[in-house]
Amino acid sequence: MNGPGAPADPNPFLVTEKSELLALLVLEGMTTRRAVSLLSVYGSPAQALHAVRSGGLGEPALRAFSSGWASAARGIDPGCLLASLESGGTRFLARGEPGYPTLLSAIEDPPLGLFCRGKPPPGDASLAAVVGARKASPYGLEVARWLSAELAQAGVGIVSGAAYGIDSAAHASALDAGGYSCAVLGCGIDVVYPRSQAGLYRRLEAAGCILSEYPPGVHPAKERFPARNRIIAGMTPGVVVVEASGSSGALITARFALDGGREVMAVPGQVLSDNSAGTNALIREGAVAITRPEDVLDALGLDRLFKPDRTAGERMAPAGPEQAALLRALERGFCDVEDLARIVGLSAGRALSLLAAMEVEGLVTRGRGSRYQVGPR
Amino acid sequence: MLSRICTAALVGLDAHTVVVEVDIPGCGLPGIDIVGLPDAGLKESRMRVRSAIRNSFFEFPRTRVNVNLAPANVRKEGPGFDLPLALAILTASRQVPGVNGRRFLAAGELSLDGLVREVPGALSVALGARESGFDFVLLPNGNTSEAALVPDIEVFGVSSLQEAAAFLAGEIELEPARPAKVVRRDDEPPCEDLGEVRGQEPAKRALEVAAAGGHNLLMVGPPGSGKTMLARRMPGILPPLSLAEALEVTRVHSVAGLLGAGGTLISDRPFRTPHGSISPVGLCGGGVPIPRPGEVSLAHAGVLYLDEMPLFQRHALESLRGPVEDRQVTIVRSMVSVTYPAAFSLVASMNPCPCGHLTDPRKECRCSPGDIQRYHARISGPLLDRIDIQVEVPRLTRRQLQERGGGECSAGVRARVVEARRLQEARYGGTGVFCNAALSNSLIEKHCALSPEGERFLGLAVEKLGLSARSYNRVLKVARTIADLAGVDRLEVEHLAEAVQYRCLERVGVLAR
Repeated sequence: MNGPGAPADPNPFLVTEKSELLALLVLEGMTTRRAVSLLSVYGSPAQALHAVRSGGLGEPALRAFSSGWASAARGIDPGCLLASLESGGTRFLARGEPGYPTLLSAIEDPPLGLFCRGKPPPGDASLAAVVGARKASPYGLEVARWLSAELAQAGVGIVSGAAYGIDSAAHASALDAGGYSCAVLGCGIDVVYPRSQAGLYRRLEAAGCILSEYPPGVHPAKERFPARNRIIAGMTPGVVVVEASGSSGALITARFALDGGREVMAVPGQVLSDNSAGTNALIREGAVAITRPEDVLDALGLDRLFKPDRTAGERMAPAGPEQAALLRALERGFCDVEDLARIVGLSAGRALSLLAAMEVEGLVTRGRGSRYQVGPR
Repeated sequence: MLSRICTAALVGLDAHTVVVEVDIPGCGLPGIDIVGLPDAGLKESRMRVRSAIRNSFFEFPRTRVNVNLAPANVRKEGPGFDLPLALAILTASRQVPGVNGRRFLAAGELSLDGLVREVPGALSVALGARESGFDFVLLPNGNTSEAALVPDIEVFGVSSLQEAAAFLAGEIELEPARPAKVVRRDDEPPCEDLGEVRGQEPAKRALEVAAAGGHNLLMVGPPGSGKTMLARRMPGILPPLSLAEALEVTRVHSVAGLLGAGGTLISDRPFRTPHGSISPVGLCGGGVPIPRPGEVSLAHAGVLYLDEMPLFQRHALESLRGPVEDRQVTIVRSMVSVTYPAAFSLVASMNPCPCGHLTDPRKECRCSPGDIQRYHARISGPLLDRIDIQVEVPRLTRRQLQERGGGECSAGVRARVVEARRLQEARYGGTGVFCNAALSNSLIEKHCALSPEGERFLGLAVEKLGLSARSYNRVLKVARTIADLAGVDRLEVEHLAEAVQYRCLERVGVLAR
């Protein structure tokens, strides 16, 4: 594994004084950086909480919060807070505690604690991040589904966000394949965002987990998503970017992975497609090009999970000369039904019928605007 | 003295006979009293009638005039009562002798100078008069060509109150109106031909299937891809109107007052394009005191085209569900309930996303996934469920437009549609179903039986393409139509395969969750 260095030793008090740590983290305006600076001054969470309550924070960066935090912190009973959180089914994992993702401790600014619903990834689990565009193309979705399902079956857990598009497709197909999947949120763990993902949340809590560094009730905000991406990249030894435009947030995840010394992998796409501009650029810069699930296992040093008996991507033979002719035209780069029908010499209705039959057999994929391509794999 | 003249009140498409009774007691202050549930418009006719009588060189009685409209429990509206009211006053004041022997019915609006103006619903009035056994109908000149469509009743047209009075007094003779020559355009090509549209063969094919099976159609495509152009050509490939259908269409338009002066039989299928701001009442009909037909009824036997369907008010779209299913619309109000026909083909269009460029290869879409999802959610599942055919209309590049021809003309397509409809009528004769779109579940089981191979294919398609279980029957119905177009009795895999392509919105296309 192109692994990161040995995890930095976390502050042992984070685990022993977990409820005080939690009390610090739920304060309004508290960030990981501010909490870390508090701890560096006062040593342990309990002492830091005591200092916050007394209201005399001298550090220039924290002075503005001093009075607000003091009154808020005086109203918190740390033990009660932790108990009520856990009775609601949310676990609080302090850094260093078993359950806290091992690799995450090694990044530059690991969260001091994580909120978790479901089953946190076991310490020895193999994980891979599968990320990509929200507005994904059918190609990207198909690849995300394929990769995640195969990885999940090989025993690799999937880590991703909870957005539409590639994220959702990756989670859903990993869970469908009976595997483990973990979503990292950019908002409080009890906030469903986007709202229509409630079903996915439930499935993840049942068979995987959702994680967040933000205390319950925190609303999603623009600046929280890049921070979230650092956790996705930090938890895993490698990130697969399935489909990303030049400005996609998935590239931020890739950047974090690179900075943390993790593997960056990307799925190549059509060079003219905006949706793949980001992934193609990553490959140009040296990311591992992924064309099969085995490539991911290879890159992560997980070859042992490789199942040689499985023949990947055995393509069905087209049925009949018309289907074969359509396939040839598709391979020449035509994608519009009308073009295809004209080249092969069929009526539009007949071409549609043949293409549907081929789609059901898995020979072709239909994309937006009724454009077809050879595939899925 | 007392006199009676019969006229008609429209309640929906039906004309009910109303008797205008006028009594001039010969005493009291001058003026007209009208009883018998007249609406505001009818009360105003007092003024019109008085002026029209004076300006036609008659004398308005200088005493009280009592008017009763019988039956007294039916609400009456509209200006069509002017002419019978004036005639009844003239008869009651002995300025015009009563017409002895022949029973007649009169309707018409009066202008202040005594001329007679057209009224809506003349066709229904003539039909009602025939049913009630009247001998002739007296109508404004502009209404006679539509009223004369009704056989077995004489229709006389008059241009003024004077002429009407003279005719009733026997001073002049009038020619009964003849039905205007109806130009049937069966074999003439419709003015907007499918052959004028370049390319878009898959969408044209979808139009053909929709026309052949009576299916509703939704076109999804970026702006400028030709959705409206295609929709406008739908009436031209539907079978020609039968005489009964044409009469019904004419009747609805006549009642709505859209036929105009000199209007006669409508022989082309209507094409209605309501704007997105239309209210549920505008779409399905309504109003006081007598609900008027809405766009769904005006599109009866033709095409109702909803451009940019997601921009329609939610309530308006939901109100479509009833008429789409029942092929008629019944409007129930506290005082009255009317039923209008609404057997229209629904053709709708929408952009793939709010900005319209999601599937456009040339322009980049700027919508967020949430925007797109909300846009699609504006069309409710139950309504989408009633649209059998959903087809994508891609935008063509200039090069593609240049190299693609117009393809087949409407006439050729229409011939296949007519043949497919004939097959369906023969198959479903006696079941009350006319086309594949209206098949009930039991009829689907009977007429859309699948071979084991077809069964396997459809199962695989539902699973692979993410079709909902609900769409299973839709696919079967559309496949039945495709087989009918091919003149084949058995549903084959190829028919099913084409049919599953017409469920594009349901498929995991735009957004994956």
